[in-house]
Amino acid sequence: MSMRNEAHGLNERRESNGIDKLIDDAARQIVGAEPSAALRSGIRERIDRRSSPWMSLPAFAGAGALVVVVLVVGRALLGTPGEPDRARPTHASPAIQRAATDGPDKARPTIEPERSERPERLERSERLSRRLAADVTAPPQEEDPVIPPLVIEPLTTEPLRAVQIAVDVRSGVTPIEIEPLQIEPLRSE
Amino acid sequence: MAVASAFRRTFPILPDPTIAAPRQSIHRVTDEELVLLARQGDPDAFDQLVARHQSAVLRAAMAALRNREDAEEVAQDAFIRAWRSLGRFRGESAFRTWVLRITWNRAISKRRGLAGWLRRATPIVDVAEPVEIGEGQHAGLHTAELQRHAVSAIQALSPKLRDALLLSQTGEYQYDEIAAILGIPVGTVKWRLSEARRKVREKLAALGYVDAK
Repeated sequence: MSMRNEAHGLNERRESNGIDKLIDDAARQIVGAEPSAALRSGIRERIDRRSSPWMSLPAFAGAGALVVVVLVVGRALLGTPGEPDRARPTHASPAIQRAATDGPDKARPTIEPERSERPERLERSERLSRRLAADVTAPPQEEDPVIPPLVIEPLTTEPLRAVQIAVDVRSGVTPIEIEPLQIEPLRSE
Repeated sequence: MAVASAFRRTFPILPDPTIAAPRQSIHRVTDEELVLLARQGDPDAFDQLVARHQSAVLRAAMAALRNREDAEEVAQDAFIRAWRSLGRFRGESAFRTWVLRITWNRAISKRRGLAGWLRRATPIVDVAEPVEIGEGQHAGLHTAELQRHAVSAIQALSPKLRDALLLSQTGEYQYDEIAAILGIPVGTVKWRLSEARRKVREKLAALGYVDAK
């Protein structure tokens, strides 16, 4: 009996091994592929193409174009760096002269001479600035001194009246007399 | 004698400039050395790595996608990605395991794509069928038919079981490598493999081919 069981088991194992082999063969059939020559050459080609300097040219061109656009836009928004100096007047305008006659304490002389690299021009501009400083005492920014005088209307206030608090006499506390507050309105000079 | 030695000292023998230096065999270079060279931007070194591992990479992609075109595309992409990411490769695992992992991830993303699913919905594996059947070819026919059913049964397995079975049959990987590719323990790989076989046996038994127990 046991001999027959053993033989049956052996047969089963052999059959199972055979089926397993068949399954493995079927699986190998699905995945069994040899790489083609195109795979390796394709990889090589893509790597070479990427490492070529001409491939990075569009990227550099794009970055360069971006920088140019940023510079142009920035210049348009902020203005050119030398512009304020050039726009600044080197001689006192009539408005400044008028403001200067009002009094020396109202404004400080802040006119800057035009910069120059050559000493002759420097001397000339220094001389000019000294002369202007003597004549002009108002800053160049204050070109519009026509400011309407400040008018402050007097406040009309009524004196506050404190209400006397009713105190119970039985408690022994004497009521305090509070005089009404007088508030004087502000006056402008 | 003294004259000869004095002559040799005065005029030392220089190597012949017309004879090229002996070329070093690349077969002795390890993957680590090739990776080092490739990292320095040497495409030839990387090409050698491709030559060494393209078969393993392609078969991993085939196991996931079961379509040659898709598998080749994924294999190529995986190598290019590896080339680009060499700077980040820390060498904690072998280059082969690393690139297989990249391949598998890319293949799985492709498999999840709708296009890939549609393509695989059509029959992919053509099983060779006998054209002429002679008197003594009944056994061959039986085996071919059986194999065709086995292929269908494997295709119908759940992806987890099928992946383990197909990866194991590429003839490229050990259990620990399959475990690394799939990101699961070795024990789980073995279990999935045996479970896949059992399910295919059951399917074949249901068709009346074998006594699956």
